[in-house]
Amino acid sequence: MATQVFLNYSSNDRQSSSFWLQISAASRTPGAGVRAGEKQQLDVLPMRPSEVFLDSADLWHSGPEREGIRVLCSLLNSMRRHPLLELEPNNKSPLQTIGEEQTQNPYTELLVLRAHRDIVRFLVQLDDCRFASAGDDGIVVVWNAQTGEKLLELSGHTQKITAIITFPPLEACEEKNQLILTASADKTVIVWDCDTGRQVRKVSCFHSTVKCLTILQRLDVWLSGGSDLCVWNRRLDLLCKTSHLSDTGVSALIEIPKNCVVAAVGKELIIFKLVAPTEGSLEWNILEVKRLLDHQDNILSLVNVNDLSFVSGSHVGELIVWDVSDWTVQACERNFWTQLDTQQEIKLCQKPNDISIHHFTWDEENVFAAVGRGLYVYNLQMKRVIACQKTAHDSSVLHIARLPNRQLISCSEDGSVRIWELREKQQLAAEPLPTGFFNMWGFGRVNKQASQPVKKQQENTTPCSLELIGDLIGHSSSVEMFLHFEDHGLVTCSADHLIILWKNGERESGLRSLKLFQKLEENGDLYLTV
Amino acid sequence: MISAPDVVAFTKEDEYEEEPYNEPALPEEYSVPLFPFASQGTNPWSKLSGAKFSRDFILISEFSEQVGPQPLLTIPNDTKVFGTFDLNYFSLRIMSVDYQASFVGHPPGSAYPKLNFVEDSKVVLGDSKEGAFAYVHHLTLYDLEARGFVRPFCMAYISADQHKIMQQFQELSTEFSKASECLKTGNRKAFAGELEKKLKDLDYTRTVLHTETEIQKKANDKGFYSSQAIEKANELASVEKSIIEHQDLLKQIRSYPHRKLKGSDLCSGEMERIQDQPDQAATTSNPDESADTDLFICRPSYTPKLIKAKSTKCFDKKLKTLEELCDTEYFTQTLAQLSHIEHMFRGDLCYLLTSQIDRALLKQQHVTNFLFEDLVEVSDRVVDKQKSAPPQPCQDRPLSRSLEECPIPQVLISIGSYKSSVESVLIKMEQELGDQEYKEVEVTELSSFDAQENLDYLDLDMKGSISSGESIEVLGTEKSTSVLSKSDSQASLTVPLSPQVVRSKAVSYRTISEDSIEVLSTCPSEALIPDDFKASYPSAINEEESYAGDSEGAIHFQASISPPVLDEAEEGSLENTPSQTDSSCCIGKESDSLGLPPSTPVHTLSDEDGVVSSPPQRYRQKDQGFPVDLAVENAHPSQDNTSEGFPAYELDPSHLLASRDVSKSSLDNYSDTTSYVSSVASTSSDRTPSSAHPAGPSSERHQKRAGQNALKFIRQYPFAHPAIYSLLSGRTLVVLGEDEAIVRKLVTALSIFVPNYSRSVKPVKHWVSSPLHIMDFQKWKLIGLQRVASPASAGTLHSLSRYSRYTSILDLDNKTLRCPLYRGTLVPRLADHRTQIKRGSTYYLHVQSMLTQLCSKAFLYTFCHHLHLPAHDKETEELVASRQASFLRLNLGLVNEDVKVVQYLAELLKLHYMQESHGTSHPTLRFDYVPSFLYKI
Repeated sequence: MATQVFLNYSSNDRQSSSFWLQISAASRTPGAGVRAGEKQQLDVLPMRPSEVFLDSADLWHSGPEREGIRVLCSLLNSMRRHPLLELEPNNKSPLQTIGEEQTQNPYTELLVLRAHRDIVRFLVQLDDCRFASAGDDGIVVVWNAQTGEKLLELSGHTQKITAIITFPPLEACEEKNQLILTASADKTVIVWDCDTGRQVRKVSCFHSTVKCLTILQRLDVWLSGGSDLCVWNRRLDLLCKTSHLSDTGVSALIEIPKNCVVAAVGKELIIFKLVAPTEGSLEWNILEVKRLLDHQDNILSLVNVNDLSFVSGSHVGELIVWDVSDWTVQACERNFWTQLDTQQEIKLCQKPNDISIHHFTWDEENVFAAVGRGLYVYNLQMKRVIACQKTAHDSSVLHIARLPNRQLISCSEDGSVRIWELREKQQLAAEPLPTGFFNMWGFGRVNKQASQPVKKQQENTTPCSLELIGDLIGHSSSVEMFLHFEDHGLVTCSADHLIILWKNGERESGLRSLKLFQKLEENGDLYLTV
Repeated sequence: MISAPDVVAFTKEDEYEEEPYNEPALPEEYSVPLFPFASQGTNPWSKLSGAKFSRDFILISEFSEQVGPQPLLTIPNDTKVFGTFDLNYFSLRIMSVDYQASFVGHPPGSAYPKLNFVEDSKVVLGDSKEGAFAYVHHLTLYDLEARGFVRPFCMAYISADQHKIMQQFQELSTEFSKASECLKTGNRKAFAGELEKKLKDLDYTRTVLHTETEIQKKANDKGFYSSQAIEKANELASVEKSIIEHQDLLKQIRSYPHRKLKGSDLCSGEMERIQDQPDQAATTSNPDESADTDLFICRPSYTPKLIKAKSTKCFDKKLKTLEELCDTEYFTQTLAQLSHIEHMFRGDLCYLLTSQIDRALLKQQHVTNFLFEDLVEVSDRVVDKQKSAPPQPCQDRPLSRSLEECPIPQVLISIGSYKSSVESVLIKMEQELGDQEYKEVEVTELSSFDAQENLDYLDLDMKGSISSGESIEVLGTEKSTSVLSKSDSQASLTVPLSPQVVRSKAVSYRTISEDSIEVLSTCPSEALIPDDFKASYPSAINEEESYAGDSEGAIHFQASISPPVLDEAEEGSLENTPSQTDSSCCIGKESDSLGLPPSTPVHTLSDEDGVVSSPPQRYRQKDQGFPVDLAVENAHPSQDNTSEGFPAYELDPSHLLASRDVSKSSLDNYSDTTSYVSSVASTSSDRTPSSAHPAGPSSERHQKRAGQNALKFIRQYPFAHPAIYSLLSGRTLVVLGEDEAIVRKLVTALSIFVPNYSRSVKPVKHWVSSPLHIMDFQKWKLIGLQRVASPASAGTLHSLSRYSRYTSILDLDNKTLRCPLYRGTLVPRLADHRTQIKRGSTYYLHVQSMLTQLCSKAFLYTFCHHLHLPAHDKETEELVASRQASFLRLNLGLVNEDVKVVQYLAELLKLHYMQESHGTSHPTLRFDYVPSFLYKI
């Protein structure tokens, strides 16, 4: 018996609309939550697919309802081009969810830090207990990572900050103060003393926005990458610069051995050699050595993995491992997805945004890539993907980092931070189950599904798996970046202008007790009563 | 929260006494003296006094130079309150105890009239005929048109309960001083303004006269002056003199000692906080100074008048009203303060004492009391006040500490003051005045003063006090430099003595009558003559100290003594008065030996009546309460005089509630202004819970309503326990509903379970309609959230589901609760739906006492050294954690989720303790990854 789905649709404004589904059929599979004639309200926010919210989304999970919902979807589609419906739910692998019980999640205390007035994009660690944050409001704020105390506010930029880097003090140098370099869209670079909050120097002779900064500590110089590449010394004297490279500018810049740097300019990787002054010539010089043209699309990420190789990732999901000395391709992973996914339609619906490589992290053996909404672990020895989580988040993963204990943290545009653990696979998993419709849409982070086994496809190709062990929900908008402190927990920054300090509650409680008794002793209250 | 007043009131019922008394006695500082005549089966609230007024009120009177003593206004301003009470008579009575005769006009030896900056005097007097006892606060205001520039006023707190006045003397005195200071500040301002105007007038008159004289001079050039001209010249001269005099006065009023200004500054700052008038915000920092500065600015708008040479007759002119005398602003402030006082001391003495004990004990728990106490702010303020108020005697001496700590302030009348009568007081005064040489002569004069003469004089004047014989006069006389004031007070001291000394000797061996107690306390004051200002300043300091010393001889507020001492004291009293067993002894016996049947004391009492035959029969109980008291006093300084009984306060059944539900009864029975204020305060408190209310009773009403609604919630919802657990364990509870009123009501009710972060803010948000944010969960622990039917609410619901791990959600419309499981035993005791408690206030107190227990557990857990620190370096964290767990389980008896409650409170305690020195600290949001369940009715 066919299921009939009636739809009530109402829209008060452009921002939100509601759908009422009325399912009239009687052919219910046992356990299906909706009875005939029952109304179910769907509140839909058109802003972002991941924000679709349904109060009790787990009522449907399979069976004829899905058919009905297909009908509904086309109906809706004809009524209104809703971004929600552009997602073909059937073609997505499910978002792994975890319930409210997260025994391995250590972060049980949070502190919201407010100082910024716009998106916070960057976090840099200054030392063991301090970090700086910067973002679109053009200010840099220095925080105490232990107490969440705002230590300094550095304001000098008139536009958003595009790059920030710390300049560690020289061992020999008498000035022990740590410096921060910030580049901004106002075409300036400012050097700050982050102990005093003083603006040390300011350079404003750039022709374009500096998008990346890097420091060659060995030579005690720093490089700025905009439409050209400039080399500066600590006192901010311009030592040398390249010719105009491109209008879009250098998007990433890393140092490789032999005084070379790699700059990602559009689809190309350009290798420059830095010539330090010698007896012969007192001049600094920067020379273009080679252009690597293997990428098909714009290069988004570029990291040094180890002493032997560096990795670049592009907008269309190409991952290339390069040899650091002769700049040749060691390995190339152009199409994780077709290789991993047997379902052909996935490729069809993949939007470029879904496979762009935003960020890398690495350890001795693996490169961890944030690819679209997923996470992939690429083994350098085996030259293949050993684990993946295709939909780790509801939307693009922006930043990932590896923790020492084989854990991985990722943050995403969907506003959540997730903690993963890389595990060896014990056994073959069962056939992937048909999953709930709403689950695919990204709602339904509900208890029921926590118990469901995590589905893995292509078990044969991935010997390891990434298990979700916890998620941190606090930000109401895209989490741009995070910073992990060994002692103080995790700092996340977000487009909702907030910074959140996540801490291990038990540990903090113990620390507070220690402090309490210290203070008691200081006050002399500890032995007073006798 | 420690003792429930409604329980206390009935502890002495008959069946109660028959039970064997096995329980260990309550520590003295926790107990409120019981009503001594309960054994006679009398209702403790029955009206023994025969007072003609229904409850306490404040009367302001003036000794008008035209018509004599007259009542000006009462607070509350409602005829129902004072009923048939003769205000005129009582005004006469209180004003006739006038403490001083200020310098009138020119004191001998000075060229110009001097202003006396005299401190107020504080007098307690009783009038058995009227059944009224009063704390009387005399003050003097300046009026340019008045005789000697002074207008004597007094404010009286009138109550039917003499013990209330006696025992609350210090508090009354503090509060009334504030009111008086406010009036006087306003008065100084007005007086200075008046002087300026007068000076302008005089100046103008002088110019006019001058030109007239010139014209006359020119008109007659014969070389001699006409009588007219001479008259004019005289007139001119007198105007000149008058100008100089007034300038001098202005200088004097301006040179009002700065030290005093500071005190009054505090007072009016206080006022402003109470009134919270935005237009005064500018003056908050230092209202007096700004007031003073703006009062010295010449007002150009004023047009001078010509002053006639001869002023109008004294009786023709209309005297200024009190409001005119003081600045209107200050006048309204004073009225607010007075109604605050009225509110503060409303209710039975038992109730007042209980709440004082309560506050004092709370103050001791300074580490934990921020968690659940609303009163903290109030009591803190009291502490602040005490610390900052300079004229408090309890500042620099050990006694002061005992006063601050003492839970029951008791009037302890030392032997010295009893045998005193005139001489001892005089000696003291001599000592005090030692450094003021020129006054010593006067003092010695005074000691040779014929008391008998004075007595005769006063006999006429103070018939009431003499005839009644029971009048109690506590004279807090100023040690003002004026001689007359002293003689006055001494006269009043001596007066009641003479007829009764004999009788009192017959009763017991004492030197003072049982009927009249005079306690003389000298206040620091100085007639500061500006010329001698510098010279007299050090002496002023001296005087303050001497006042402190003096009060030792007069009134002691002393912590209660330990039980052995009490026994001793009772023994002493029995020895002293072997033939008499009277009421206060009976109580001692009952509690000690239980041997005496309740009828015995009655019998002996009547026996004693026969012996003593004190005239006013209606008063006999109280009458007899006193002699023993004094005997005890003589034997040992015990605290027994509190047990001499709480004379009935209100007779009406409606007033039975007065002590507990003050504001309710006041709302229902009286629609006076003060209760109106209180209701306003409490409604505003509903909206802005973080704002501090000045008045205790208003929050009390709030508490009662909250308790009632909480009780309703517990009875109505079977899942009240997990909801309360959420609140106690720091998980934000969101109350979701469409109807704002219902949500607000429930949020207010549940807020009694919410632990505070600090003293300032209660983490409760009564009503929100916008989507919640992570910051909200960090800041608020109880949120009322609007559910909107329209799709626009999607955002709200979305954020709620997104942050569901931080919240418990109570859906009022669907009657569901989504929150973690609770299996502890703590909350069922706290919120038993089958509880027998019916009243909101009782339930509130129950909750408070349970929470206090909980706080003490949290305190123990937090401050147990060995629980949190590793015993040695190698000890692992797991070991420490297991030690903590076993402590919580075994020593504190906590099961399952109760542990989390105590742990959460412990974290709050830690944070609070550490931030006390640091100032700002960010509250962290603590949470657990625990599954939630959906509860339905």
